[in-house]
Amino acid sequence: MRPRAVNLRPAALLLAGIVASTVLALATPARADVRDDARRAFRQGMTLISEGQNLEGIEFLQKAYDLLPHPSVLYNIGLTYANAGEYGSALDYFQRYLDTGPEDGAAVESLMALLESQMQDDAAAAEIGGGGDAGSGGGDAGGGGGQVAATPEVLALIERLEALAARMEGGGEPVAVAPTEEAIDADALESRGDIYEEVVVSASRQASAPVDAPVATTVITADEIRLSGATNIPDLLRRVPGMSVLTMGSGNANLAVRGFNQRISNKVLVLVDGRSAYLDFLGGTFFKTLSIDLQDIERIEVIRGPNSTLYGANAFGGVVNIITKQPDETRPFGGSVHVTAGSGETILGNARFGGRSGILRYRGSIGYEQTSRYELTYGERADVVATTDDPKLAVRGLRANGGLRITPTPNISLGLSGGLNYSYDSFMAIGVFRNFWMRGLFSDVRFDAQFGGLGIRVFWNHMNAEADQTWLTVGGASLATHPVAHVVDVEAIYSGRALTGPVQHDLAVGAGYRLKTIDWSYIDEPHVEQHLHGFVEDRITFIPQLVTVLGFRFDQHPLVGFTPSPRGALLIKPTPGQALRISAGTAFRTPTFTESYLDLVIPSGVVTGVGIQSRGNPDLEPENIFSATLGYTFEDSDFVGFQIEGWYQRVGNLIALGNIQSGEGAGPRIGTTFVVGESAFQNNDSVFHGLGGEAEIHAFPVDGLDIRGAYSFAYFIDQERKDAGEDDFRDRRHPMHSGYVGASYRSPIGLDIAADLHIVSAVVIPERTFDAATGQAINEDCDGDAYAMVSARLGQRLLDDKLEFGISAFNIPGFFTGGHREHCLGTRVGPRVLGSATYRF
Amino acid sequence: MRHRLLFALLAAFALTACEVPVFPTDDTPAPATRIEGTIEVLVSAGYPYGPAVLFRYSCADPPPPTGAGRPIDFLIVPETEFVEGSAPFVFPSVPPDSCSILGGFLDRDRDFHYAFTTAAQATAGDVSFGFVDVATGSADGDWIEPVLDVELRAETVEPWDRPVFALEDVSEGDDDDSAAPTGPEWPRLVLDGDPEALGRLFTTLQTSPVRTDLGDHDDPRFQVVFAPDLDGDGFPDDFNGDGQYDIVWPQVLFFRLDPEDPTGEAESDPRVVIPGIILPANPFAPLDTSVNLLSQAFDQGVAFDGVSRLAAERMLIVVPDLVVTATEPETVLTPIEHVQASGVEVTGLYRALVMNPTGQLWFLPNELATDVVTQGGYFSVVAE
Repeated sequence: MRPRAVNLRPAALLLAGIVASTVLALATPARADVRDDARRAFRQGMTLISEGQNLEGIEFLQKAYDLLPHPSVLYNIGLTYANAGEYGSALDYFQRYLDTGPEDGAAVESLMALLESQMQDDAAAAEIGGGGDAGSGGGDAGGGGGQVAATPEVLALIERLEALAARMEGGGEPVAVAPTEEAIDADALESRGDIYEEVVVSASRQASAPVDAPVATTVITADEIRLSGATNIPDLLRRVPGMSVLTMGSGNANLAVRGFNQRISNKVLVLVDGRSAYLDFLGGTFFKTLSIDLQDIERIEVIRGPNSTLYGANAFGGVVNIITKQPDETRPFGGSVHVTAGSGETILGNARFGGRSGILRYRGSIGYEQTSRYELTYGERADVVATTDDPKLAVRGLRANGGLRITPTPNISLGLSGGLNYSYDSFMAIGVFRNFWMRGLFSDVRFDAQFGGLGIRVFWNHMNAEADQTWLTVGGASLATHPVAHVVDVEAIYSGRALTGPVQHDLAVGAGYRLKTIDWSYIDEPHVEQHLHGFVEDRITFIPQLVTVLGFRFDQHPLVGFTPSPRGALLIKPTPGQALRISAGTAFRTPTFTESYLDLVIPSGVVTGVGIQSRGNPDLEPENIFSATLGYTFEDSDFVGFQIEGWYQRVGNLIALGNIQSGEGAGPRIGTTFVVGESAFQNNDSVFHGLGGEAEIHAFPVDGLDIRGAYSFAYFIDQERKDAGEDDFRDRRHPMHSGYVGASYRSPIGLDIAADLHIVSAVVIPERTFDAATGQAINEDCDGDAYAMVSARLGQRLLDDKLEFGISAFNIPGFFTGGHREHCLGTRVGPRVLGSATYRF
Repeated sequence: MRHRLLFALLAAFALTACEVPVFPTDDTPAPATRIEGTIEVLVSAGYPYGPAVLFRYSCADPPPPTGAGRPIDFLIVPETEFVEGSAPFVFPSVPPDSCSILGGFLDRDRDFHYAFTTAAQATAGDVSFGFVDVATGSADGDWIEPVLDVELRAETVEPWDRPVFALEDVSEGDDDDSAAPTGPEWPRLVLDGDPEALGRLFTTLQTSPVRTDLGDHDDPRFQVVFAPDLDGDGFPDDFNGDGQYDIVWPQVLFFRLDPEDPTGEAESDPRVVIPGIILPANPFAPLDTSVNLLSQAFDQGVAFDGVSRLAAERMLIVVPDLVVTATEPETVLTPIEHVQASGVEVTGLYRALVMNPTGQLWFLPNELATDVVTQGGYFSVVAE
């Protein structure tokens, strides 16, 4: 019987290939998330070394280095070899460490000289003793040889190495080493601690592990960004518990942490390397106007809860600090080229490089991005005309950024960086059609200097853009405008440590000045504002298990005057990896230029020639918030970490446009629009009380697998409505429930699989609109859908990870449903399929 | 077959990649079209023209003088748009399958005020446009063919101002110690409960100078037009056979107000309108020349041709208990108590309105002042 011919169809082949790849990957020892794996291997290695199993420990350190190169691992390996008497190997690793250009290079060179000297002496002794082994490690014994002489140098070296051995056996605690004639820095002989531990710089004035932070933090790493397949920052932030992402359209999303999201949200402060990216003229952040690409981001730190103690105005609901990549310390030069393309006419390209030469570090990046809207609000209509050649374009940007840093001494560092973005962005704003485009140049320059404990930072943000409604009624009033804004910010901070008895104080004091200017046809006249602030923070460590962080900041604003922002936190740490955190603090948001100085007639859209005079109000009080939290963080395990936090908030003085006073200001005709009433910004009389909780877990139970989950709950009461006896007094601007589950798997054969699921409950956002019957503006409830969003990415790394291809699908349910709507006035959030390629060098 | 499947997949991907669907948001206006045309200035109005104020009315609710409709849209064409007596205009957001009446005027004295109906009209010296009817077509998806090349002719210089007036015969209400002052007592028509017995009320309308932020009207006059003397007897004809010489303009109307409306300005629904009849003279005091329009016409040599106008300061009107109701639009006049008996409430306060043949109108009370007393107040209908 002839065997039946097997006719495998392409789809079956593809399925078989996927199954085989998965089985192969599962059957092979896999690698977990880079940082987690590296951290786990590093900890295991250091534990073995402390137990005297040096060579076994070095194997783990080497594994950690292979996963995520870090110069300090080379140093630790070198030190361990030295301790084991394998000076040759030690010298090899110390030399590799020196090649990374470390700040303590001089001290390490001195140590290497001693080791070489010791090797020469050992070789000489062996020769005297009958030509025995001159020492393991294969190091160059060098010239000379001769009798072992109990010289002071040799004795000192022996003493230091013995001390080093004792320290390592003691579990890595620092051991003081007597200074030598070669003036070796004692610190140089200490092995480096938990190199791969996540460090956040945004939660307090001094960098710390998340477990030591005085507020709840979430970190999104570069690896998470890569595996997500996301093409914009807000979509990445969906995984942060307590974060509300309100997408109005492709490329346009609004953020809020713990409440009060809205169109053009203004209660989250977004920073790029600590530089404010908040657009003071309008409030909020337009992410597509930033001068960085996703490929430039090292990590995103999200601080949940008010944080004006650190950042002053506008750090109201939370802070998003985008930390950019710095030159790779393990290589003199490197970089990458990345391309993404796919549906929605999406094209993303980025080329970046970085390197070092002597005391100089440099980096540069250039990128291009474009994508179309998910949907067009208007098709071909006889009564509507587009003001742009390509109304379906949502985002287009040509970006570049770069930086230089010199470190002449370990204690002195000078940096200069900057970026620019010639950007076209679309967003939903005012007017009948709400759709706006903004096109122009957004640039930033930053200088910072560190002189020991004294740091100085200066930055300049500049915007010069045109904006207009994307669509306009034929013959309707134009809202075209051309805002030009500058922000110059200077801040000096001094950090130091002091001891009062057994109590340790890590102090930071500083002051700053900010100059803001705006020239914009939407406001009454050009304005200049000058702000001053001062702050102090003291991290008080009574004992390692009990820490308090106290902070106070004042801001002097030209319109709202003196505003204090205190914060206090108590950390109880039963172990180094656990913390019970109790904190309380306040924050405020100052009125934007729009809210203070708006002077604009907005067409009603109901009657062609009728408009409403909208005015700013220079007498506004700042929005304020008080928050108290109770949280617990667990990071003791090499397999799982989690964080839970409950919070209470009291929010007052929210700013919004008030009701229209019919006939107020009426009469004068402005252009082709006749004013029939007036509306001004005002503080909401109500107070909002919020209760909520968040839980976040990150598990990496087996090699190769990362599972992340988050859940948040929030409930807000509008006190005014409650006092008025209304049955429904809940404020629904923030989703009551939101959840996230994500999993990623990185196989040793280079195949990466990642998937995310977001589930968000419905929101109701007060929205100002016009009543078609009366032509009057009214506040209506605007519904945002409850939705589930699934996104996935499949990637393949090749050529030792230098080349990578990926295909990702964003919002997969949208393929079947057409998308979901997060705001009644926004477009549906549709699906995207994107392919990507990355080459790293 | 396989190639076709592949082609279909590629086509689907290409569509996904390139097509951006149209999907309205909650506040996207329904598909509409535009009416586009030009304003042609046909009179030697001289420069400056002032801006052009354009109104769009519904054909179903025509504007004065043929109806009492309010504009459903308006726009302003700035004076700077005019080139050699011509300026383009566009009415957007016009629904499909609709009929509109376009009109307007050149606001040469720049006293137009959209928010106040009494000020949203042409005044003396302004140049009014002839009305134009425009119909729009049906929708084909989102596309509705625009109506182009509509011409609005600015051809009539308004010689008169609006008929600013006050109601007379207003007496103060009771004001004894036992009750709070009840305020002025408006002219009232009392329903006697007998539908067959015609009742009537005499009252006087007096032109009244006003000074407002929107402009002064120091010498307003009613524009009285008598019926033409077709029978050649030297007097206006009596077309309706009521024994009085007919006056065709101005029109005097009383609109019932919605008692539930907090602003006190909205008309009741259904609409109840009582027409006022202008008497050419006071039949009980014919020597009272202040309201003897006929003698004034003779004195001033006003022809009874149905066009010539008499500028009058006062008018005596009779208000019959006859009603034009929205429930019976085909019936010219219905006894008011019949209407009441049919379930339509007729008692309450009424707004008095006087309309010139040009469509210029004035009504009481209006939005120009909060103190209605100074504007003559209301007319009222009360049950006996």
